[in-house]
Amino acid sequence: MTKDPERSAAEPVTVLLANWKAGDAAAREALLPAVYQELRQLAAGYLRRERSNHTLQSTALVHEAYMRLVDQKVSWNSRSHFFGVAAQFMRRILCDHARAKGRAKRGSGVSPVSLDEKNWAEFHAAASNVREDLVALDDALNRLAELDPVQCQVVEMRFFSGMTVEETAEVLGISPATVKRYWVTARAFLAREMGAAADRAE
Amino acid sequence: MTPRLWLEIRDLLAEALELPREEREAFVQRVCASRPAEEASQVRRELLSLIAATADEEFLNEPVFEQAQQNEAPPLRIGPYSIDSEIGRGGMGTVYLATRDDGAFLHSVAVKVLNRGMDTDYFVSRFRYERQLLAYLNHPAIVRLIDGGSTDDGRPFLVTEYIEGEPLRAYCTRTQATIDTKLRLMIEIAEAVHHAHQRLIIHCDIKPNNILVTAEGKPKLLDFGVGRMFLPGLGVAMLTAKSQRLITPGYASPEQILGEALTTATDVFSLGATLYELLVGRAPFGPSITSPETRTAEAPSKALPRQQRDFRSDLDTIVGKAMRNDPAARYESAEQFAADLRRYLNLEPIAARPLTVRYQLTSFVRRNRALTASIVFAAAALLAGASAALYERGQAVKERDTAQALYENTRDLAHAFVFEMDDRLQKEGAIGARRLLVERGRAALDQLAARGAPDAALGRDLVASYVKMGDVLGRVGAANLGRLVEARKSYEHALELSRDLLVRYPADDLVREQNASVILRISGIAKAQGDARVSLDLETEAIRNLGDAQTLDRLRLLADAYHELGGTYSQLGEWGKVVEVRQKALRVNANILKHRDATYDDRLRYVLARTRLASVLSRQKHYAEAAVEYEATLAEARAMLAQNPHSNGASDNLSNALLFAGISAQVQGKFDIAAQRFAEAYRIRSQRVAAEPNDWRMRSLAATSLLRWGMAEVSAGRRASGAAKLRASLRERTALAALDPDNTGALAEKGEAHAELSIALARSEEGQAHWKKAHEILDPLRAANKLNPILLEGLARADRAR
Repeated sequence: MTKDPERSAAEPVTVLLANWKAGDAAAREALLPAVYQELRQLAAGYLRRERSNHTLQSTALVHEAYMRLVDQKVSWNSRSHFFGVAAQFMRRILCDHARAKGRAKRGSGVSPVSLDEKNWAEFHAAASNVREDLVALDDALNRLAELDPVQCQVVEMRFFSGMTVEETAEVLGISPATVKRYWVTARAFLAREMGAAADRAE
Repeated sequence: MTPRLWLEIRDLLAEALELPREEREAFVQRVCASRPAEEASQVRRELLSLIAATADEEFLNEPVFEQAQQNEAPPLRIGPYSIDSEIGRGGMGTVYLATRDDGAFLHSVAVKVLNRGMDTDYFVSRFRYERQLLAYLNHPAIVRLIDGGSTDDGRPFLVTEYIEGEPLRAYCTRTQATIDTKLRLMIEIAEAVHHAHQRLIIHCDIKPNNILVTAEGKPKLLDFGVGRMFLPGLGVAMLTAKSQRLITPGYASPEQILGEALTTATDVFSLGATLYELLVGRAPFGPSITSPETRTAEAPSKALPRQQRDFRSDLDTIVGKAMRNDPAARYESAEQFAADLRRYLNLEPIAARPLTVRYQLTSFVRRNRALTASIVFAAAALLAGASAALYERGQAVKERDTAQALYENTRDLAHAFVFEMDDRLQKEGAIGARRLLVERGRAALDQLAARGAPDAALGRDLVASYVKMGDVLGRVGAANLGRLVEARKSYEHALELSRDLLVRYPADDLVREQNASVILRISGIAKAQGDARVSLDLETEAIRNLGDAQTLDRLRLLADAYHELGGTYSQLGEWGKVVEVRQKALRVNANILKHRDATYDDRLRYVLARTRLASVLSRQKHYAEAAVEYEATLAEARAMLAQNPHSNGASDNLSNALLFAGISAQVQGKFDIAAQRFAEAYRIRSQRVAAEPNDWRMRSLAATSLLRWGMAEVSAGRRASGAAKLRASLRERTALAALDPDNTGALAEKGEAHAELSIALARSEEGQAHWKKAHEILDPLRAANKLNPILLEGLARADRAR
């Protein structure tokens, strides 16, 4: 008999999601620690099983986090909101790791500290197929956020959480057409910034 | 760059990117022309460099993790299947065309495997669940499950038949399907969906892309990946998750979007949406999620240009009724949706009317079985909590009257659960639903009873609810789950309560009758367990308690008691007594039919009584008299079944009569006639098994018909054919005996099948093995005095044949 993966309903997250949806911006901030914690634990747990050939997809990971944290009676668009929050973390997790790896390579002496941290880093390596240019992307995203934070969120949701245009529109409360506009122009901006960074490095 | 400037540049950039490549530069020059020189050059620089940066179309195009997955080469093998090519890839799984080479044959199959990276607990269990669901389904328009397993790296896969076909929309476009063809395809799909609903499975993602049409024009429903079973107790984990990310907005029902409870009505909605797309050429709703209230689909006829409206507005009505926002206002079942489409095709008036939106709660019991079951299930989940809460509230309220009113409300609710709804379901199957329903209702009643000695009405309800529970678990002679020992416990608990009630209310007729009915149920189980002596005492007591019955209810109980007593005497081999009691039973039944309020069921019982009398007459070698009775009962039973083809009682009656008539023919040496009768009985019973695979009793009866058929074939000299049937019967009886290890009756029947096989295969090694097996099983039972004369005689024949 398989165990029921939806059992661990955590009421607070559900309530926070509902409040956020109802316009309470503080609820979103309150959500962050729980979601981050859950994503980390899940990822570390999967790593410990030491399965071969392991690449975990962000969508699967986020989905499972959602199933664990949120009472399943909430409606469809609360779910999109959750994925919106998770998107930010996927970016942070991946980019931080790419940065740490880069520093380690250059022998700056910064290395993962605890066992947990080590697992965590290994997870990234295994899970994300991390690319060197994630660091450059992260920097470029930071510059974009200074110009328009919403566009930065669009990229996080589309690229790091695999959300569709419609889902992104839902969470940000803007029209799908606007999401598309933000998306193509953000891509152009990021591509240019990253290209410029690469030129500088040469 | 400042944020303000970026906003300006961003909008210009968006505009520029809308244009064809070669016009973009001119556009930039144009918008910069009107600006001051310094600003113009900055804007120009920004825009041109941004436009240049869009050259790499791949940049960020795929989400970060999915990239590596896309280019993964197909594996060479999955389990025993060699992979030929990839057919399709979704977020969760990938489907391959594969071949199984089992030495003799090459089969093309479709293998669906969970994507690497998606093997979290949630998706793995979801995937296994789909496999379970498919295993319950068997319909020509539903893709057939062949196999399942796990890959070397632990990902589950499932194997289905490979459908060489194209998606529904594409098929209709390519063949330029007429409206009639489209409707016929939809009818077949709706019937497949109904088949699933009868097995308590909802698909949850019906849409044109999940339907393939074969070269022969046969549709096949695929992908139960987000489907679910809406009842527990059938051996699968109940997954209640709204797998919301997995719904398809263009076809999803309002309740799916809102995350509300899903029922069969959800699929009816999506069937309507699919038909909509076939008629109009696009999905009724867009790909984004919008609230159901604001989401509207134009009527199909209005969504088409005038010259293309080649169907009657009736189709608007049908689609509209299937797609109502309120699930209760839709078609009550997929079958009725299909029926209306059929009426449309036959140019008959359709059942849906534009203004039949009004829905009354009380009408639900008239509805289709699967839907009823689903409503019942949802309601049952609420009941235990609700009734307790109601009562607690009542206690807290000061006024005694209010507490009393709440108490009565709760009792009414539980009563409706245990009795009215269960009766409805009993007529139509769905044992899992019944068990749940009765358990919940009984728990509510128990809670009430725990608060003080129950009055007569509550007491009777409580007794009756324990009886119902027993009935669902293992009532002898009715659809049940085959747990006799559990059932007996439940009945005995009922008897205890009932005796207590009878002491306190000795003049209450209803209490007295209920007492007799409880006694009869226990005696029935005792008999099935081989304790015929116990049954004899209990039945005699029940008949004495019922006394000189006059009312219809009491006459019915008395007739039951005589039926049971007759069975007991036959188990004891006292055949003279059997004839006597059967004649009494027939007389009581005849009296019932004289009653003004006698029903169809009473007629059924009369026919049964007659069948039983005929059988014992035949047993006593009064063949001529028996033959007359059989001809009459068979004719009557056929007529009753024709009058009411869905009546389980009528089908029981006919198969019973056939079985007994067959036995009579057999003992007279008319083996061909016997074989014919048994074969027909087997056909009727296996149809019932197909409709309700969890009905233990019907499976046992079907296995018995098969055994008898095999015996008749052997007697007629067709040994091979007989042995095949006996083997099949043995297989089924072995499975049944394993299902309920406490049921010695089932064990004895398994032994009987071994004995008969040893006769059919006498003087062969296999026959010898069966003979040994028969003794192994039956000897201990014989020692415990738990073998009836028929079995003893069978064993003796096996010994002689050796």
